Amino acid sequence: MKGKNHIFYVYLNCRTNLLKRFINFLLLCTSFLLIIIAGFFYFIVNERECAANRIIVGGNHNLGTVRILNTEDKGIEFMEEMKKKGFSSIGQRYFMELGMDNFAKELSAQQSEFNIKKILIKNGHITDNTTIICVPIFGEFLQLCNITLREGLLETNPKENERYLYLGSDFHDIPVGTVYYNKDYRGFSNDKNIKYIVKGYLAEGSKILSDEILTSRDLFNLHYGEILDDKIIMFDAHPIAYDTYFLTNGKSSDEVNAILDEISQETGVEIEKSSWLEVLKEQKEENRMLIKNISYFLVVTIFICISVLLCNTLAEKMNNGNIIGIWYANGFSQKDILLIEVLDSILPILFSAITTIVISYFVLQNQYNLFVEYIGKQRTSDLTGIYSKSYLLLAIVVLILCLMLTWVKAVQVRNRKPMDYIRGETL
Amino acid sequence: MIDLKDICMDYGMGEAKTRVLDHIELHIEQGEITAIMGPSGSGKTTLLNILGAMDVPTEGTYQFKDCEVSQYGSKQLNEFRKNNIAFVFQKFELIQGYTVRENVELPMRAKNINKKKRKEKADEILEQLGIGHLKRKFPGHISGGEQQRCAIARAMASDNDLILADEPTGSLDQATGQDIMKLLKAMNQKGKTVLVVTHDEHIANMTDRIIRLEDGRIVSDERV
Repeated sequence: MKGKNHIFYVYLNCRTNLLKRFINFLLLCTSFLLIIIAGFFYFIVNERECAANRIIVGGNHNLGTVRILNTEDKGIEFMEEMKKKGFSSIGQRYFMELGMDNFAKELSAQQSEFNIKKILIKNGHITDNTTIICVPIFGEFLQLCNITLREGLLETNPKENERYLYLGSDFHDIPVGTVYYNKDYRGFSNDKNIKYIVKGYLAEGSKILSDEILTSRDLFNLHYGEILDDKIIMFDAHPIAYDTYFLTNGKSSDEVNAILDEISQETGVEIEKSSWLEVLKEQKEENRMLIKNISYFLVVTIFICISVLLCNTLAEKMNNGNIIGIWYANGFSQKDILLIEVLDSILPILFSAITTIVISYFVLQNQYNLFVEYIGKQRTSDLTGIYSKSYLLLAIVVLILCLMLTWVKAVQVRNRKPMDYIRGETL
Repeated sequence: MIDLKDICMDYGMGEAKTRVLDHIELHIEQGEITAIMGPSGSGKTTLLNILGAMDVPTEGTYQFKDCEVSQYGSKQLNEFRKNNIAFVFQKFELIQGYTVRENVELPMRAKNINKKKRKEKADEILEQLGIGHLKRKFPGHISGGEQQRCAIARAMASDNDLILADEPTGSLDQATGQDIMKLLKAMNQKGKTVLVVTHDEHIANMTDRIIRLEDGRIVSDERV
C-alpha cells in the first residue's frame, strides 16, 4: 500500500475517535507543557549553579566581599588597613551611557569637544547611545572575570589624569592608542582635561560579572555572563569611596574572618562580610533541594503522561479492536497495519509536541515575569540555551514514547493472527 | 480451484487441545456456489477462515489454483488474501467510523488502485446494489440489509475470485436475506466462486452444492 494511504487511515482513525483524540491531544499538550516548564526550572537552577561554579572554581578560591556599612569618616583608613593586610579591591563597577553630544549622560550640562559617538557612528556601530562600564579597579578584576584581549595590552592602573578604554569586539577601526581628551565625566575636577586612551579590544564574547555577584548578594544570579561585545570598559584611577574587596587567597575563611574583625574593631568601621565559598555551599544545598523537587515533579509528570496515553490508547483499541481484522480481511498486509498503527500512535504525539513547543515558547516569553524570581537578570541570549535544553528534554521524552509505542504495536500486530482481531481478541 | 487434503485444525494446547476440523478433504471448482452447513461448533467458520487464509491449519495441505497456500508464511498469506479472497461476514464487519464509500474502497486501497478509478468503481458498485445514495453515510446510520449490501459491495470491489460469506443472512430478516443471496448468486454468475456458511436451509437451497459438517468432519456433500 502507498504511503499516503497509511496517512489516510491514520486520519480516518482520528476522525472516528475525534473526541478521544482531542482529549488525548489536550492531555499530551498539558503533560508536555509541564515537562518543558519543569525542564526550564531545572536547567535554570543548574545554570545558576554552573555560573557560580565558574566563578568560584575558575582559579579564584577564597573570594568574598566586604562592604563598608558605617565609616564614621574612617573609610580611607579602613581601606588602607585592608590593603596592608593583603586584601585586594575590585571596586564597584558602574554603568554610564554614551549619549548624543556629550561623553557621559550624567553630565548633560557639560558640552564636550570629545565625542566618541561621532567616530562610532562613522564606523557604523552605534545608534543613539552605548554603554560604558566604568571600573575603578585594578587588574584582579579582569582575572576574576577571565577577560582576555583580542588586541592591545592590559593595563589597569592609569595615571592621575588618564583613563584606559577597552572596546568591545563590535567596535572596529579605532586603532589601539587613539587618544581623546575630555573633562572628567564625574565632575570631580571640571577644569581638568582627562586623557582617554584606547588600550585594546576585548576578545569576542567577553563576559563580565554582575553587580550582584561582585557584592555577593546573589552568587547564583545568572547575570554572570553579561556580554561586552557592544560595550566599552573604562578603567579609572579613582576608586569610589565604598569599595568592595575580595579576600586574599591562601587563607582559610576563618582566618580571613578573624583578620577582618580585627581591622573592623581597630578602625571602628562597621562592615558586612561574606565568603563566596560559604554562600556557594549554602545556596548549593538550597539548589539541591529545588532540583530534587523538580526532578520528582518531572518523573511524576512523565509517568502521568505515559499512563494517560497508554490508558487512552488501550481504551480506544478495546472499542475498535476488530478494525485490524477487517483490514486484514481486505488485503492489508502486516506491514501496512503496523505502519498505520505506529503512525497512528506517533503522529498525535509529534503534533502535540510541536504545538506545545510553540505554545510554551510564547507562554514562557509572555509570562517571563513569573519566572523572574528564579531567573534573576538572566539575559535572553542565555535563555535561548535554557529553552533548547528544555526542548531537548521534551524531545527525549517524545522519542522514548514513540519508541515504546512502536515496540508495543510491533509486538501486538506480530503476535496475533488476523482471526484473533475479527473475533475481538485484540489484547 | 480449491483442493483441501487432510486438513486438521486444533485449538488450545496439551489436555485442553480441541480438534475443530478433522481430516477434511474438499475440492471446489471455479465458478461454484457452495453452502457449508452444520450445527454450531461443527467447524464451518474455521474451515472458511482457513480457505480465506485468515487462519492456518494445524495439519494438511491447502491448494488454491496452482498455489500451495498451506506452505505460505504470513507475508505470502497477506498477499494471497489481497489478490484472491473477498469476505462477507455475518455482522457485516464494516468499520463504523468510515463512510459507506470508504468501506467499499478498502480492498482497492490495499491494491493501490488510483483515486479516480477507486471512486468511480465504488460509486458504480454502490449504484448497482441500489445503495448509491448512502455512500456518504456511516454504517451506523443505515439498516442491516443496507449494511450487508455495503459489505457485498466491498467484496465486489476487491474483484477477487473467491467470495467467502460467513452467515451473510444471519443478522437479517428472511426477505432481506433472500435479496442478499440473490446478490451473491449474481456475483457467482459473473464467474466468482462463492462459499456460503449458513444455518438456513432456504439459503442453502439457493446454492449449487451443500456440504454438511459435524464435529469437524464432512458428513455429506450433495449437489442441489
